[in-house]
Amino acid sequence: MPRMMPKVDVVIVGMGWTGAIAARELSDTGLRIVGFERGPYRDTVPDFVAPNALDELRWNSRGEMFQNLARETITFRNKLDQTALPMRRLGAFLPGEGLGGAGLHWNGQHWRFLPTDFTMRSHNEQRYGKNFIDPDLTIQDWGVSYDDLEPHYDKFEYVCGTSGKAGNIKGQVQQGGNPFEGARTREYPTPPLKQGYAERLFTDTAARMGYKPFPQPASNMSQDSYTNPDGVQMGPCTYCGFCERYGCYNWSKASPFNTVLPIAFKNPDFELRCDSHVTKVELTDDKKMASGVTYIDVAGRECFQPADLVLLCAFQLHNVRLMLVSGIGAPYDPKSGQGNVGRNFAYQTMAYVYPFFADKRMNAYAGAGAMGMTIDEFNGDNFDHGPAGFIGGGYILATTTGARPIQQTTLPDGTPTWGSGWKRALRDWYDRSFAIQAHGGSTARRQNYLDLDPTYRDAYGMPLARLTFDFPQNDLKMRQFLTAKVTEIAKAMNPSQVKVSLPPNPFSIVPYQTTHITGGAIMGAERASSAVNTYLQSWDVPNVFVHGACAFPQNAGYNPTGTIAALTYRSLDAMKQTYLKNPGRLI
Amino acid sequence: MSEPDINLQRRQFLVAGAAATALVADAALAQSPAPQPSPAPAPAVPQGQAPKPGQVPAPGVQGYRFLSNAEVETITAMVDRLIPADATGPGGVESGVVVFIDRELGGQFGAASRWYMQGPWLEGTPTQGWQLGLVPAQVYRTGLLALDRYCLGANGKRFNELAPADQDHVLTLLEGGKVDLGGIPSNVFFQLLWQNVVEGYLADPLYGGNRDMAAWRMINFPGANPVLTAAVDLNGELYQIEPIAIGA
Repeated sequence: MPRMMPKVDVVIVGMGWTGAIAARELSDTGLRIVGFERGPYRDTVPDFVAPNALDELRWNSRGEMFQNLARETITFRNKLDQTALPMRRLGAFLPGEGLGGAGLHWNGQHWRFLPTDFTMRSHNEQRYGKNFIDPDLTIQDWGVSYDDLEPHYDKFEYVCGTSGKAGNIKGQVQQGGNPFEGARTREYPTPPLKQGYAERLFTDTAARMGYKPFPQPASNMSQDSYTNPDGVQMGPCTYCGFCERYGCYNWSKASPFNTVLPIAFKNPDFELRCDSHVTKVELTDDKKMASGVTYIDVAGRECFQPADLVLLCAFQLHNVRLMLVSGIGAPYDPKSGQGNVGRNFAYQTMAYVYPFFADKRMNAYAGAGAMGMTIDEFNGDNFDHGPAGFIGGGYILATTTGARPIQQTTLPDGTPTWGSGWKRALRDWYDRSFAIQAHGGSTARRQNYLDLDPTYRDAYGMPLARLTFDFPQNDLKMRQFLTAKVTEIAKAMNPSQVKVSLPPNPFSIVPYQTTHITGGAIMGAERASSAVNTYLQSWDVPNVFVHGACAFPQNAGYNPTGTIAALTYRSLDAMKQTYLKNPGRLI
Repeated sequence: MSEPDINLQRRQFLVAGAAATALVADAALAQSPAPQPSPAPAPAVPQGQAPKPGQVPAPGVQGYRFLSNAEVETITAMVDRLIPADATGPGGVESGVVVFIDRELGGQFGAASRWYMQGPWLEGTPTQGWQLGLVPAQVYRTGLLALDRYCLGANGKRFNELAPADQDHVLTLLEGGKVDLGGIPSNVFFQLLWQNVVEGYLADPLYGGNRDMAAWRMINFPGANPVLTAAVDLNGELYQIEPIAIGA
């Protein structure tokens, strides 16, 4: 028999960005809240102080703050007729573990999606005709509009002290910002970051070619200090170049630690339980309501925590798996197309182009996670896709996130793979190039989905999630198009040489691409084609809300965190204004 | 050994630097590895001076934790070819890469403590990644033994006894997956070794490699230096700053 815990009002599963935001937003409700985190407790001090935070072997190569696969992983295959095998080592994406989740080791690239991203199906059908969209694709509208999310985007940017330059304030296009973005109500809370030599080269070249480069929105603090609306302070970014995959030593990169958690922790009715792994959401006998969660506590004991309201705030994969093992909603069947849980897994379609300059030093170790200059001419539907033959797009970004030598060294094509020639190339070419990336969106297709693996289990005996994924043809065409555009810009800089690097096709779980995996518990305005409604509430079990990128019907050509947070703020607003007063279906 | 002066230097180095449990990495001395007295700590390669080809670092007072004498001999010879000591910059061996590998294999990495290692074990597609039911420590142990067997069978000599050009040939075969390593695909073995060699060469000295931050100095990486704001404004010229290490 599991240990029975005293009942609470709200259970939050996962204490990354969405769980921490939920704990903050519910902190004035008087509700008794328990937040579960499968990983350890940690904080900037003592866990991420300098110089130990700047340790490439520990945090990158050994991945100490990433998900511990010994306890829990996924299985993966490209196609339905293959046997999925476990992801035994981390590679293509890096889910977090521990308090703050992946919100600690992100780069701080803090984007909003384009207005048309939220109507990807209807907008493209309207502009290009139904037949233009590959019938393989299962893209759909989100059920929310950019305007619905704008106040929440704005709120999160001010919570994080995001640096940037607005491109559109209340319909007025602003010089120096992104002219394609949706209208904002006001300027970014802090000015853009400094830009390095690489970014200045890119900016000059792109502008000369007629593009409109603008600073990437960055939740890396660009000024000496910042106090957010809750009174929480951030410190200045010192461009140490250890951002993505690392915890920030100087409270400069926005994370749950220096934004929302300090407020959540002031609430005497909030209890954090770390090293506590939720294995299942328990349902009432009629399967219509959740009664609480079963979890394994720090000592390995199975416990049951009863609650009136369950917020699934774990990483995308784990939210979907919890729904599948708990029987929340119908599992998706790729053959019939029936069922919504697990459907529309999407990713990000990446390409990298490196111009090399034999006689220049980039000093790229002086970087910040979101330092970069961007052009958005080829993102979303910012250009005419008619001649291109695909839908969607991506931003083009020249970026300096650091020059950590084990992970980030890029050597020219033809370099010997080892020996004296390799060492000579390392000496001669380290820090003499930079990455220009095409950060492309990812459409959903019928065969890309998550379900439960029939064979492999986690350390607690639960079935692993099984991922079936390969790049849709639409996205490969888009990648080819974007790569040509990026290469053209790189060559216009007159570099010594150019290297083009594309992730493998078919998709491989081995090389890192991005951690932006999405879908599986997608949102929508219609119950027949979504797992949660537009407030992230389960259609099937209305006292369960499911947060995070699992709600994206498909992925846009931007980093997801800003949109994840905006959806969560919107959901919590509805919860506080409506649901808590009268629990039931919000739609 | 074709260069007697280098050999002499190496012998002197070993005598001066080897700890009581040290291992003799020189092929010429490999037949009878005997404990050596340790009167003084190993001399580091002086700053600004090109390292001598084939210099071997002292393993330090701890000796080797995981690797056997024979394994140290083979890995030392491999690392000496993978990142040779030459005028370009420090070699892998004198950078402490062998010590690094020993420490990693004897610790959590060697035990794959964060990898999913439950069966069943099936051969996957390349896109499915690592599907070998051995942890890194086992891959090295099994692979090195099989490599000895392969080299003895093909040449009558162990890897570390081969001439450098022959060693390079064997490494190329390993890299291409062309050697039978007792069930371990030799390219998997090689990639793991190369990954660890690069890590040991370029990681913080805290872990036993990258001695005196010599590899960082070669490429001008500032290490764990947390304040680099001033470097952002430069226009292609080198930012001069002394590197910082967590451990030395």
